[in-house]
Amino acid sequence: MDKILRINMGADGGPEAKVDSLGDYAGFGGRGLTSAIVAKEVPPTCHPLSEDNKLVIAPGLLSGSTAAMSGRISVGCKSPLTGGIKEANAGGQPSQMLGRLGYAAIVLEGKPKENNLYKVFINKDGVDIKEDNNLCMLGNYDLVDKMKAEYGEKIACISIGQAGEMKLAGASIAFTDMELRPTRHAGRGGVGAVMGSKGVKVIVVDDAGMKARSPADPDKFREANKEFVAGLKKHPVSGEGLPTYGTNVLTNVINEAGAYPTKNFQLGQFDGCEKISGETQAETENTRGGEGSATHGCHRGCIIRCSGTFYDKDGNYVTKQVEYETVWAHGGNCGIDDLDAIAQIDRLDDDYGLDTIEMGATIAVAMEAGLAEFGDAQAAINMVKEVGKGSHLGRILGSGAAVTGKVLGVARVPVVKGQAMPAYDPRGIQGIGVTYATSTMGADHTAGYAVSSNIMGVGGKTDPLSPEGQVELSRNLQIATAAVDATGMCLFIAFPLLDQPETFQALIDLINAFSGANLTADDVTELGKSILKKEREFNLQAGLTAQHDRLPDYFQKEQLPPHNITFKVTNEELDQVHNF
Amino acid sequence: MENLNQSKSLNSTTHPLGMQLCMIVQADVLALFFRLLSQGFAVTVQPGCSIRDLLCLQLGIREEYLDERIQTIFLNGNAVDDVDSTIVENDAILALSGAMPGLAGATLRKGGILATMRNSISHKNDMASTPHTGKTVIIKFFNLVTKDLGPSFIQQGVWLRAKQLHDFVASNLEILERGCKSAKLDGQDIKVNQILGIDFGDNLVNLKLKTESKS
Repeated sequence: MDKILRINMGADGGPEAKVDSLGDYAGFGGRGLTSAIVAKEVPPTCHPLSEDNKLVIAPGLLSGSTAAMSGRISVGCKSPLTGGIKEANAGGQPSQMLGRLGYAAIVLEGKPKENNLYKVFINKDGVDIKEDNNLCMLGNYDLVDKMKAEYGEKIACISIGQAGEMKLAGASIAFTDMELRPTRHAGRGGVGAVMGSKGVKVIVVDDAGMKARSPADPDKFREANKEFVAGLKKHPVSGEGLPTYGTNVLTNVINEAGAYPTKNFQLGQFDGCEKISGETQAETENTRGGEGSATHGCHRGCIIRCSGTFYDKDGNYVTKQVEYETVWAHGGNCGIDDLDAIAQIDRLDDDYGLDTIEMGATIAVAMEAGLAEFGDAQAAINMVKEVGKGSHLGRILGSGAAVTGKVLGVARVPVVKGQAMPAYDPRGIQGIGVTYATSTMGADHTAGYAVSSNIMGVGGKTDPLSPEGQVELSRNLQIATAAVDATGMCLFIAFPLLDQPETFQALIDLINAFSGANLTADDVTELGKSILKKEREFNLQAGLTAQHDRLPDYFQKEQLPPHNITFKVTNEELDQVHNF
Repeated sequence: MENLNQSKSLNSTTHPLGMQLCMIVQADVLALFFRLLSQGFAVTVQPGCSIRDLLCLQLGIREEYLDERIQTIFLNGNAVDDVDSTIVENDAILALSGAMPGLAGATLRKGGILATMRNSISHKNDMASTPHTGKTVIIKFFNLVTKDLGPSFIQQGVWLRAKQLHDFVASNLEILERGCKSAKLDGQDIKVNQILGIDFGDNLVNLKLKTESKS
């Protein structure tokens, strides 16, 4: 992966592709690369949908190799939702394929002079960009079917649905999975709207004729990969809990903790939780059967296999196994306890190309405004369909919770920097609230993951009982996560890394054996810090200051049942997070 | 893995709390009943002891299992860090889970390095307690704990709220009618749909399952 594909969509005479060397960006991958390019090349004050913004799609450092779990892909740009820098990532097949084709990144630049829609085809022979307005307002599923008919079954697609074409701030970018379905999404921050603004409907990737990337030291690489895989398999979270129940295993537990945001963050527990829990979901999927039902990977090389496939009662494919955040967003947060209805909504979100967290939060805000009753699944389905139709209401809803709250006059809107909060109430788990508030990405549960900050010794040792502990832990986790996001590794490697020093060492060995470098844990920490600093600096120049590192006021005023607690971390403490 | 000391009795089947429902079901519907375990079932024990004593000495769960597999514990909705110093009082709700993924999972873990991040919902030993005059504690099993311990517990009998059992039967009637080979209520034969017509009052019902393979 030693080249960057740049496509100038606004070139005279139509879109123009050129291939650059990595230059100053050598050694970067995933989020490290997307944030480096955006921070250096995008004017922070530009409009996110203007020709000055850039959309960067970057496989992880190890993508395209045979390293386990290395198939995540990052998408970066200035976000139309937050107004700051954005990195959203996804699984699926395109990351591995782009890696094998040698691309460290695709950068979409400029803006078409006419209002045309384009498809981009990339294979070993080069890049072909064609105008194709027949693709206009197709959903992701129909679009991928068309691409299969045109380019064959051995491709992968990166695409937008109707929401991206309409440039809605809740729009996602879809990445096809192993079955060539558009089920994996870089969801957050409206990255799909930026792709829409570039006039690119789909990027088709075909890696036929290419081999897996070769490591610098094949023997050490093989050995480290073996150790890494063994570590993942032996840990109860990655080796057993996630494959058995998927990410939705969290529903019962977060609900029991009283930190499960219910009915637009009014309550911390949901009565219908058991009906939509991971245990119930897995049992339903196992009973209904079907290929890849309860345990399935989202890309080749996945060892954990936390995904699955959701079929209806008659055995018809509906969507992939719905993930925890989505089950929560469209389930408990809207008072809905019907897994089949939630799966239908997930399918619609994937087809229209919408961030499921943002849409769930938005529908809950609309329910609070009185557009529907909490618990009315059909009304929720209809609201998502409005987005697909592009009605006036749909365009408002598709613009996210913050916009919808303003339009409908709702005060309780759970967003930070305009981005909806995920499935953990910050009053219950206050350390996550610190990350929601201070992340460079807006409210984001993956920005400060539990990734080995203790092993890496990021930021020194924290006294877990000190009041400053939550701020320091959040900072350390955000640094560690930024580094892991740069590798393209799935974040679910976190627990084995946290618990098993030998697995963490195996990961470092894997990176070193592949790249020929001699990274230490300290180097990884420095990488994480440098990414965060770049992102923070971009945001400051874009006008996002410390005053934006806040939760909405009501989290400090409204007590959350059943524990009846408010968010207690002070603004002064929040301001310490980025002091490093 | 053997997770229970077989010498320990989980529940007396002659307990006066309520009626006993014995069902013989096909093995492939057993997992459906696990939903009842995550909603909570009552155990008759001697409260006022530590979580470790309750689970290991009174309910027969092996200490190694508690220490290694049960990584996330809630007592009355509060995350527990220390199973030896945390006292379980009468009418308490004790939820048991395996290790959970994600930042939230790591944060909620017993004694984890991120425990401070959920300080506001952590169990503290000075929390108000009720006098322990009764002998009932509600236990909830989640995820891997259900998978590991559920079959043994449900085969030996678990006490459920009558409404809980009623709602479960009502919402899964079709599957239960297909998957239940026979049922007896206090020794008398009963059909699954007849359970819905019985008034158990506010009593508990002891549900005991046996499984048989599909023939």
